[in-house]
Amino acid sequence: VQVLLDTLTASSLLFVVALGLLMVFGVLKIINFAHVAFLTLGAYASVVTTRWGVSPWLAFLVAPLAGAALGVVVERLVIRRLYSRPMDTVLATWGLTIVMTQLIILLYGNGPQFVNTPDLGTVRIADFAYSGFRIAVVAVALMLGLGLALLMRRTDLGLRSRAVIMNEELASVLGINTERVRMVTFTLGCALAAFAGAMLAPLGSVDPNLGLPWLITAFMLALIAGGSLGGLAVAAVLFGAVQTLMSTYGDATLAAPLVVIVAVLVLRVRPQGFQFA
Amino acid sequence: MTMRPLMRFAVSISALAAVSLVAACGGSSGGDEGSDEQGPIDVGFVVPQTGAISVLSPPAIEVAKLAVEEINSAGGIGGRDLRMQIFDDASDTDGGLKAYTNMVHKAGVDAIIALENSDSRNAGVPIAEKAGTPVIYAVTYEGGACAENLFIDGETPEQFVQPVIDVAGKRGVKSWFIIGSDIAYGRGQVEAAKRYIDEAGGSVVKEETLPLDVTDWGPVLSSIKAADPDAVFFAYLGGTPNVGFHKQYVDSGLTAPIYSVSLDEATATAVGKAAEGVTYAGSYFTGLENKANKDFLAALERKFGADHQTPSSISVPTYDAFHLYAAAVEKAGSADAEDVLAALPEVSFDGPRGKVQMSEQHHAVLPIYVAEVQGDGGTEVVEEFGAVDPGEQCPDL
Repeated sequence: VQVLLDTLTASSLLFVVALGLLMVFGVLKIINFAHVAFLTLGAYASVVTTRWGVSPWLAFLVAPLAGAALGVVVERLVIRRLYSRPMDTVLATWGLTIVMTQLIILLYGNGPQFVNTPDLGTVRIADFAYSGFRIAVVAVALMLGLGLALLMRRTDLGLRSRAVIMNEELASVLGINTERVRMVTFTLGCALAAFAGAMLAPLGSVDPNLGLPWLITAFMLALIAGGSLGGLAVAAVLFGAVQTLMSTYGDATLAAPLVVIVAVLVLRVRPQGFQFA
Repeated sequence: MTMRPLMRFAVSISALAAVSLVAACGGSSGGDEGSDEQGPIDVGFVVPQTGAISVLSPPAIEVAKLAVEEINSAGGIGGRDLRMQIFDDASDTDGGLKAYTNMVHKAGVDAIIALENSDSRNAGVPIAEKAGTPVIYAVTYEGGACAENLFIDGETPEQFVQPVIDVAGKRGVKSWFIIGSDIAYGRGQVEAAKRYIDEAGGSVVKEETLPLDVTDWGPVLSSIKAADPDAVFFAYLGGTPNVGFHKQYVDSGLTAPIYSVSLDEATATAVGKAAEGVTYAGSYFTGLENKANKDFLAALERKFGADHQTPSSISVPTYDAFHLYAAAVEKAGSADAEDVLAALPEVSFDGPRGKVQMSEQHHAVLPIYVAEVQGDGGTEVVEEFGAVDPGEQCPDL
């Protein structure tokens, strides 16, 4: 049971962290390296709530709002101009990460920040204790996943973005404002990234490079997911399982490289990833 | 000193790079080099102001400034002022190389005092060695670093790891889970810990060596749960990573006590309640009841105000290092590198830690204490070991 729970929580964390990247990758077909910076930005929401002395729960509201606001600006100023040059967006978003990280350093200093975060304590499940925070992450991952799935399937916006994903030119000819779809998606992606960042803050302290270690994992997840939500869920569970099983029954040191090997193998067998949704 | 061929190659490359750098600088910097008998004595202080262990630098910079002020207001060293320049090593190997190259070949400092991780030290010290510049490494480390120009006043494993294992043994700890970081410091301390655990008749149920950027400790915590040890030995890295580890450890419901060689008093305060019950050793704690410590704390408050940084066994060796260097220059009667290096093995300093005595093997005999973190993040000493010998670190020097 313990191992199962570990797998579930590890997968949920990965899912939440990669969600924003996947949204942008799926619709805009670009890898948003600024995802890292938005993760960090979200985590700094908890620094802000700590400084204001308000409830640490507010961070989960402040983070996505700030992420969305900045996301709109970035889309207008940078991303929009580079839609036809996907390779350049890699460079541009990476540059954006550097700029945002430096801005955060200017505002809050280079050092780590010790923040107040919601303390969920330990939950007793059956006969063992388990981190309440980790259980909450599972719930959040499920809610976000289902919410986005509904958004894509049941709403007009979802329909339009799926049209853009399938065939952008055709969608455009049919009168869908593809620019608008892209802007909304990018903004949503940034908000999700910032929200995920807020969820990372309780794991430890917050520093300007907080997002960095997560980038590669999120990137691999998005690639393996092949741009679909269901795919991301499968990929996250796969990664989480490999990580947990390897650390529990083997060696945590080997778990990290093993995840990469698994990613390569999956892409070898299924170059399109787990795309089916 | 023996070097593996690869290491020798690396050293010659860095020497080559250093030589070409000097050549590129031309004659303009030549005038600054060597020691003019007039003017201030230049000391380069290298600390990680950025990167993974940057949290360690603010307290160290405060105590360094205090030491320099004390030395200068007492008339300097032999009538010459001590001037400190601060260099950032970015917490990594590359940064260490750059910082040492700048200090030795650009700033032309008379001596170097270093608070940094072992990888940065290993990268940088050979540059200073070629130039004959004295280096005082002022923080605990894994032991066995030897060079003609290198002196160390931080704790060795004999002074830092053994006392912790000792205290654990007395409390009945038999089986250990060891967590180490995949850097020279982590690997060295883990090796030392295994030796002492073995000597004490304990056993290691599992050992994990982790990369430095762990943010989700979940997998390791699961591994600890599965292994069910009496205690956990944590040899990762000072500063920030402790926060995540201890927070997640408590959240996961694990109760096995943690014996750490990564924690210091300042970080423990920042981690707070999550670090309650963690046991760790050190040569300095703010609660020490000696006069020098009381004066030291009062001086810190006078200079930096009531909200000054918490000094700890990580930062106080830096304070001592400045005073030890001043004592060596005083004794040698000059700031010439050769004279200072000859004097350093014999100097001592009575500071906040108690008496720090440099040894022939370039390490320091230190008073050692083992302490435990309290519920409010404060630290209380639980056992005093008195003056502990650094052990046989460099029998060839």
